[in-house]
Amino acid sequence: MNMLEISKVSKIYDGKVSYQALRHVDFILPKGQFVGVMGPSGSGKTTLLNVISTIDHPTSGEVVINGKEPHQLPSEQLAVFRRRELGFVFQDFNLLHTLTVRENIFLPLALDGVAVKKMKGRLNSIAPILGITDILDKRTYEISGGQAQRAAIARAIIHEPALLLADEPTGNLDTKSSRDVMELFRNINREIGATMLMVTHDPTAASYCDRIIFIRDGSIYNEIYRGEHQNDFYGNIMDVLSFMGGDSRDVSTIRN
Amino acid sequence: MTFLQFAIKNVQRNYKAYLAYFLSSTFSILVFFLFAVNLFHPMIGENITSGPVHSVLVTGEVAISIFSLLFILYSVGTFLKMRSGEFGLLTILGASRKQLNRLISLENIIIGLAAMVTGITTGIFLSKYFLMFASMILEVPELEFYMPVKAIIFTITCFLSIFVLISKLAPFAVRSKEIIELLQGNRKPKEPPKASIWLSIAGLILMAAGYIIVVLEMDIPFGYGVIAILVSAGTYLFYSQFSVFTLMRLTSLPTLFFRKTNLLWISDLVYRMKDNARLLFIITITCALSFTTMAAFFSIYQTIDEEFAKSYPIPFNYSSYSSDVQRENNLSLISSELDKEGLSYRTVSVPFLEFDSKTAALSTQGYNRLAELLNREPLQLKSGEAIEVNRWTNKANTRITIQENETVHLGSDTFRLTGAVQDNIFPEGSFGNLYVLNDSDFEKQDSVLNKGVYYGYSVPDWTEASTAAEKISAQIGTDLTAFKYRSSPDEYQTEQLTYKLILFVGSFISIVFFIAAGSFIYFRFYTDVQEEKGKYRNLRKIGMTIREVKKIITVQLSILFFIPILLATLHSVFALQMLQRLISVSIGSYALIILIFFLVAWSIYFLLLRSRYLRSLLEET
Repeated sequence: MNMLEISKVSKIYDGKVSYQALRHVDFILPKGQFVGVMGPSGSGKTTLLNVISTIDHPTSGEVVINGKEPHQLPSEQLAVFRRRELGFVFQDFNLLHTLTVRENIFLPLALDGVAVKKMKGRLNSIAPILGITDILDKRTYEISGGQAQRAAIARAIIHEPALLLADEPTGNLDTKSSRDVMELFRNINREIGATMLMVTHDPTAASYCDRIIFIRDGSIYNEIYRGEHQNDFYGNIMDVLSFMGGDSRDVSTIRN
Repeated sequence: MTFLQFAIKNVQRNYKAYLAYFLSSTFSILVFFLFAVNLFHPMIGENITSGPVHSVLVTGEVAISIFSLLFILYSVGTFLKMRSGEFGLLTILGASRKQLNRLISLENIIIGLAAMVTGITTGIFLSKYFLMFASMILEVPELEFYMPVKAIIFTITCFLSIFVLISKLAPFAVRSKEIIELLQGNRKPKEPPKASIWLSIAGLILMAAGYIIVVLEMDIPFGYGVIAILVSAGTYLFYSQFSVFTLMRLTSLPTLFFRKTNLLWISDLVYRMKDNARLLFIITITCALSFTTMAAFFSIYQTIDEEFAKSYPIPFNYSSYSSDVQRENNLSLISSELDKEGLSYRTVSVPFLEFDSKTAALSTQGYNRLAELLNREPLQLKSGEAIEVNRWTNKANTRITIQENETVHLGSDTFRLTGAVQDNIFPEGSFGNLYVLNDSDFEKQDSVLNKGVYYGYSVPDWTEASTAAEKISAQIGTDLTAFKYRSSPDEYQTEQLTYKLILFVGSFISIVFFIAAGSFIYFRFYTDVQEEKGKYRNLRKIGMTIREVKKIITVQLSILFFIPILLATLHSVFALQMLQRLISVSIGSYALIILIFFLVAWSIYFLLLRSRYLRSLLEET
């Protein structure tokens, strides 16, 4: 079963000089797959993510998530769609500073009017996987970046979304926290069977995925699948990146 | 956690973000409430001449409530803008439009209720002093403190409606934006502002055109409206185009732009000017209005004695017709009441003729008796001559001009007009057109409507005569066919109180307005203090001194603070010049007092807000 189907998606930004950020992008994401999207700055990877996440509208083409076309939904239903089918992880965590970690995690459920008892049940089942049991009652300024990202991941998966989207989730983290977060993503992918799409330009983070889609100048440039070994996969990713060229600053030189 | 809990927690834990909005609401409520305490004061309601006093207070209250509404709307706008990122996040997490609206409404209600409790409680404490102050200014017996139940209910009703209205309106402010914009919020890099040279020049021309019409006293249809539109449009272009254009020009002068901190404050100021053009425009126009009205009322108030002395050359006036049977009684009533108050006076009696209800005449002899009492030049007339006496006080637009060989028909005769007396002798508008005739001509007239005698009481201390005047009015009756009685102290007292009250209410509203105007500008700075803090921290790392930071801020703040005030002063100078033509006393010196007072107060306020801002900018976290 396919969780996400993208067909002929284009995005043109109008302006004095109109700019085509995406050109006829096509791909399919089967249920349970963990896919990474890579590409140089300005290649269109964030635009692609925004279009999939319903933050932005495609100029043409179709986006089908879990059998529904969110861009065709009226705003009320779209809101319901977002809160039930989508989970989000941001580069800068985007936790609300006014709330505790627990309250932040409950937020999507609160918006959906879920009973408090059920919220607690869900949290109890995911908190140990995420390793956030100890920080649930802390405020966001009391925790580290790695912890904040884990809390944000908890918020993104507590409602068991059809699709988990992540935008540079390791971009603001140190190497150790990055690795923890990526391990976590992989665990979530394996244990809960979540379908995930992550935009990144960190090859280390990308090497945790099952499949990498490379984007350049708004269209798909290449894609590779992971084999047995993560290290080999990392090497393959580096090969494609160096072959693709683009902005070398985007490519992390840290090897693991 | 339910949605309601979420809203409450949001307010509770993030009170700093809500503080500015809360404080502005509290301030509006406090001002409104203090005013209502006066309005509903039992003594003002019953004892003090309820007519004009009451209507001035009511007008003030209405002005304040409109102002409060705008003030709160503006604050809520800034407040919502600051939080656009949060709304974007909630939308992505799946909050529906309805839920966002409910969140905003709930927050507004929570803040509104808190502000009402704070505002009214503070108000009750302050009302004692406010009442004391009011009775001091109005020179009425002390207004006692009371439990202002009516005022409390009134304030709660008004503000509850305002907050309900706002909680319904506020969601529209975030309605039409895409989430992507909401998420980026204030972080979005700004495009450089643009300004057109032609619109900049047009702005200056429009303003100048308005001024020129005033200075040259041009007569054009709808004069005031045209001037107001010209100057307002010019002012708007001045901020949105001219200021931006000028600053952009400065950036292209390398020797100036790259000198010391100029680079920083000029480039910052370009954005601030463009962003705040509308705000600065509104501040300028409102300042100009309050300067002008305050200066005008202040000068009228200061010269009210003089004005009254002019419109009532003789304070007590009794014109008696032949049918007047109470003449002796009434005249002795006036004398005895004046005597009782120990007021010295001189009397004069002069015969007069009324040809019709709009034309009257005096004899030369009679006029000269009045002239002697008033220390004016006596007249001399030959037979067949007449001199017109102004019925209004001597103003630019009431002066009489006599053509050569102009004549006037009085009764059955025609008289040659040989001159005019520009100062009235009877209370304004008493006799219609008044002429002085040669004594024998005066005696000869028999085709007249009425013959009568005018009795005047010249009281040097007439400003002290209000008690006597009150008693006389109460007893003298009103048989308008037999006699006409008018005295200046009668109207003087109410008029003086009314102007005092207008001044009191006006200065109160002006002060409130100025505080609000200052805090608007301050809010604009404060909204991005966090971002600025980071910026200046970095600038200090690359070698900028604290003194330089302070200088940059001071220059920017003072430009935004003082340009509107100076421009408003300029506008008021011209507006007052226009008003001067309608008022006989000279406004200039009183206007200057008001302007200086405002400028000093504004400067103090500026220093206060500047140091507050610098403190929050430079504090380490």
